[in-house]
Amino acid sequence: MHSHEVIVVGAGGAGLRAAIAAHEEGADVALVTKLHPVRSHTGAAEGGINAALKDEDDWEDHAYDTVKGSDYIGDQDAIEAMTEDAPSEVVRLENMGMAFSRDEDGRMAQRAFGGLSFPRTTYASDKTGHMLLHTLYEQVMKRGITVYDEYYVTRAVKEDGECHGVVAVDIQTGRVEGFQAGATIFATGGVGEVFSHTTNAVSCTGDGMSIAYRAGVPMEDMEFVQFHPTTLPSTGILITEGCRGEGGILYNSEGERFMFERGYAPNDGELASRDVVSRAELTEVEEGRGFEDGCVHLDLTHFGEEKIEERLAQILELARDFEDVDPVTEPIPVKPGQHYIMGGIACDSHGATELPGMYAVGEAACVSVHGANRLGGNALLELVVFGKRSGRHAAENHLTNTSKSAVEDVVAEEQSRVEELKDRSGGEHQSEIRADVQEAMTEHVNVFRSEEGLEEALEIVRDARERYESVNVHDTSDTFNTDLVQALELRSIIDCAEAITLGALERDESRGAHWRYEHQERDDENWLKHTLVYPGDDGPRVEYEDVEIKKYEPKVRSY
Amino acid sequence: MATTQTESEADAATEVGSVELEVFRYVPEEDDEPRFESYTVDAEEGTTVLDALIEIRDTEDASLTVRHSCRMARCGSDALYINGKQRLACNTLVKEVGEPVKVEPLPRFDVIRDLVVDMEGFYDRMEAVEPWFQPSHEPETGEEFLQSPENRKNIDTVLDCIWCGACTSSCSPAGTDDRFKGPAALAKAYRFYKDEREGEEARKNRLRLLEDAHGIYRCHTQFNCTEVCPKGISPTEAIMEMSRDATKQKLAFWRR
Repeated sequence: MHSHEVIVVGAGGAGLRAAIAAHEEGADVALVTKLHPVRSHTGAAEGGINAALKDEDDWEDHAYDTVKGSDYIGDQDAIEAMTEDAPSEVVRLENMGMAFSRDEDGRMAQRAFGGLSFPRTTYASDKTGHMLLHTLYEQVMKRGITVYDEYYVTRAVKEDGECHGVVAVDIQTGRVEGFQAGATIFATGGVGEVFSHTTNAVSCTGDGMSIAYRAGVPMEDMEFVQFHPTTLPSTGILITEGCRGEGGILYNSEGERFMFERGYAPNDGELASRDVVSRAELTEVEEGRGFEDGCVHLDLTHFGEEKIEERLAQILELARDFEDVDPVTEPIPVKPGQHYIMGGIACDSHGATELPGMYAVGEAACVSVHGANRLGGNALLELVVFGKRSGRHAAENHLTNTSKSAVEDVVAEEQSRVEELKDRSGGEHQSEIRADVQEAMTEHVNVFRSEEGLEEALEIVRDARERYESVNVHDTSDTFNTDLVQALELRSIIDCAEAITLGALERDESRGAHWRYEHQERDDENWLKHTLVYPGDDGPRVEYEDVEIKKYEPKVRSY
Repeated sequence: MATTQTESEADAATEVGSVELEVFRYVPEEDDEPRFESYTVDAEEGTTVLDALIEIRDTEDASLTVRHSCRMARCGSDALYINGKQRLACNTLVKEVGEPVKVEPLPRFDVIRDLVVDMEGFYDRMEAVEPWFQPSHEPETGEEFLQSPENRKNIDTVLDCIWCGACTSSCSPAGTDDRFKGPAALAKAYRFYKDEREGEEARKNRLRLLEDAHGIYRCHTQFNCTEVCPKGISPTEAIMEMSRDATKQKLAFWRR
């Protein structure tokens, strides 16, 4: 049995930042991750981190851009908290040694990004996430914070309406172990594995959302899933928005710069927000002006090799290695791919959930600052701002009366669940069920959604839940059993897929990344509200909650 | 990749036919000693070694175990010994390495199971070089350190390290001397050593830390690490530069 005042589950950017903040407040804090911190998917973030650093810029403009980007469903108090804190948090990263790219005067460099009224995306070439992740992990090593790596958390311990910690499988040994904690922060990242075409790592399986949900904490706004406009067609690998920020151009097969010429975004063109660009691309393809594999072309050839190597070095490598295309001399074929989920574990702007002792932060959380569509450069920002806030709050307010025996009881229960899973014979293998869910979600719960498609997806997902009841784990060994881990992850995938689809089916309007054939307009009268999906005895129960509106009244959104 | 590739995408790719893989297998509670297992998979033009391993795991043998996550050469989980060389499985094409594709865990690391090795010793080596920023002074709140674009460019050569362990696995001194920090850790040290924001005092301290018998002088300049690094980093050159600087400092001391 392990015991700490604060346990952070997940060691990507949000988890590491939360642990550092808790440690600075004097708490005994530890990280528990199913990977090793430097393997976390934060490392794959490319473009940058937004902050109004320059004298000519203003954090309130950043707030407005974010509210508009969210299609007015982001909570404005949380958005203001994030954008106001942004400059100091980005400087803090610099002070920790993070290797940002530099302007001639030695200050941190910034560039244009989609949906921003000022070029305020602070970057480190096109490896901003990598630099951020490693910098934060360096700070964790410096402080000697305990890291339990390669532990897969399976459940939160809930007793008397409070969270007493978590239970996890030590992947290397197969042992089930308890972690008693006065505050548990879920920083477990996104849900890419719910879909078949995604920029996300295979580790992004929505575990934290599912675990919190099963402890009675709702998933919020799960229907808002971001499909990034520029991913490689064969693998889903991300091609950063920084390409367009630096002046990259999107063409259709008729050689038109369609974002302007076809009127999708007459002012901002390629730098409209992601939901707008993804819809435009798929419209072009559907109307017969796309390329092979449902792609459009992203052209960087006018940059010259030197500029690409300096500012977009990773893109050069990725396009060459994974698509066999050389961006210096030819356009990159791109198409929309699942990239991010705006929704997540419902929490306040300190990361606190409805369940005392349980927190959420980062992509796993829904504060909500991204509403119906996240702006590029705001995800890394969310990690550090709310990482700090949640870590600090958890350190100051953690419970002191947690029960060791409550944790031990759940260890025993999870131990028998794992044993039972491994002892089964018959039933389908987890990989088959997983693939069916992923394909259905990609086909029906994508950029364009119809009632019929959503209903079909929901049926497939619910069927998958039934099939999961007899899922078969072939590998019965204890040492590093990834077959078992994947079977456990599949339940998280199914939970998240159901919440996403259900939320999408209920919301009969189009807002941000959520677009419905039958209801192509935004409907503020009925839908200016957050979706909350709670677990119920007969499956999920949907409730709604008002959006926090301060000074920005909803208006028509165009780019 | 294989788990996330839809059928229509697979159809569009060019077939290169069936490919044979010989994969190192070892499950401690089941096998007395390691063995090689042969598998055949259908490969396409863009099929990577990781794709092939996932295909085997998902359709043929669920017990085959390999660490992997981002599938885009960023997380550094899947450095393996493929046809006699340390490479990342996710960015190595099946067609580029020749048949049969022999897949083994990283040499000079203890095997936990199948292709999964014990990384703890590697992480300890990384930590031993104090790999965190040690600035010359505490900045005022809200004040950023300035850094010239040229200096930033100097450290760019090593910043891309993904801690995959390929270099350390290829390094013979690292294989024989547990206390030798090895190429990855020394390249990490170089990242700070060259960062002008740390200042002269920190630079000297870093050199002192790296100068012992298990530090920079242990490097045999064989360039194995440089040859295998999947991110194009040259730890050897970084180590050589620090060794030269350390020697110069000593000479300067004796000349005084």
